[in-house]
Amino acid sequence: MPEPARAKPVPAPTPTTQPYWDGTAVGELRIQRCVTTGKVFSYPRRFFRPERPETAERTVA
Amino acid sequence: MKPAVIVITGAAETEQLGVIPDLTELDLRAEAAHPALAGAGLTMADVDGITCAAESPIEMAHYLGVTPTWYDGTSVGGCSFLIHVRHAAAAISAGLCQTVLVLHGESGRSRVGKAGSFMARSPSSSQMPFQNLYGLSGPPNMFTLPVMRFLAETGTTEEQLASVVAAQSAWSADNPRAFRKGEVTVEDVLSSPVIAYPFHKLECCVVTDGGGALVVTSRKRAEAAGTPKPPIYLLGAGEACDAPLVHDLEDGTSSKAFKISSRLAFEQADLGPGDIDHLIIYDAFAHLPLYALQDLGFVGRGEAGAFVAEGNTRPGGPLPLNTNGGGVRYTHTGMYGMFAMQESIRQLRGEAFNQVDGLEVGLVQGVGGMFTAASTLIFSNRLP
Repeated sequence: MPEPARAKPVPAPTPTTQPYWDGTAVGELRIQRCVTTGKVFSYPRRFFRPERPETAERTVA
Repeated sequence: MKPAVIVITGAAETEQLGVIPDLTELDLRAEAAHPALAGAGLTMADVDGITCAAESPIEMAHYLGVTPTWYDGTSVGGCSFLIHVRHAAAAISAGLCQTVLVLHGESGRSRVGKAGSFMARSPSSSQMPFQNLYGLSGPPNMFTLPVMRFLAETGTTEEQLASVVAAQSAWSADNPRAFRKGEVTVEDVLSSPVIAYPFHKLECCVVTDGGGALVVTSRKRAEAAGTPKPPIYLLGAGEACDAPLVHDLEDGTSSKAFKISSRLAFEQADLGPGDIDHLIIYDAFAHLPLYALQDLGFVGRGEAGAFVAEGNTRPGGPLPLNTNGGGVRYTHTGMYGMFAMQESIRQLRGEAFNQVDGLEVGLVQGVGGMFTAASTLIFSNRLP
């Protein structure tokens, strides 16, 4: 007798990663772009601001 | 080698505090990190050391876009962040790194993206098979056994225990960032529901979401780079531990770890209790300030309850204590140590919500894993 298949592990979305996983559900890769440097980055993050002295803004696109 | 003079040049809490349903613990740390760095006149590119508890400092470093040459993930409960400052000071002194971000972010209330308790213990630990399995595994019942003996042996009354909360509520009464608003009396505290005797609900800390960050560096580097605000000097630091099991504590009426960590900090600073202008004692529950007042030598054994009840630690009193309202009024995300340090630094910078005038030297006494860990830091706004 083969053992019953175990449930496939799936990610548990957080408010930060939800838009990314929503994209995968409709076949889109949604990644973020830094508002100051224009660089794209992944995985999803909040408050990511590399190597720039501008400190007023706290957010990324 | 003479150790370097260590300074704090940046300090910030998250903009929101209390209920933050949309941020993970990594997000909370990052949110605090940027304003702390900005306040120090630095950017993420200057950071070469990272610390945090619970989640890995490597996760955090990558999130922030930093490749540190030194990191520390010591996770021994709420005083971990005080210990991180001590470890960072040693690392900077030894030349392992120059600018350390000490980070904390905890979704203690909303539990966004949390896997489980940071206090989970393995079957091979002493805590799990010899204590926790039988229900003795959280603050309400790990603290109750020692505090019952404390009350009995020192003659401290339940009213005096409740006066700790009343005094602290006087400091935080109008603070919009305090989770529990307003001022309460001893009668209010004693008429709140009993959670685990002798603790009433208002003698137990709040449970919140929030984070904070500190920038730690050497005085030499801070002076070379220039800082927007005068630095806060770390004059002394200590860390210590006690038994992991409540029934193995050497003395339930006193904290061995408080005594050792504070002795180390006082010796390094070459100061004593009489030199301390402002005091923060990590108050997960209301009894801890009573223990620390005695164990650190601010009062004699059995005198702490009357000392607080008589108003010595209230606004206008000679020894301002837990001036943000503490863990029982202001905030407590599960690990409170970061917020304890933030209030000490705000007071020494003259930026606190309820500012005390003329302060020069502040002491922060941290506790972790109930009575299992402790750390003491002594800060000053003047040159040592």
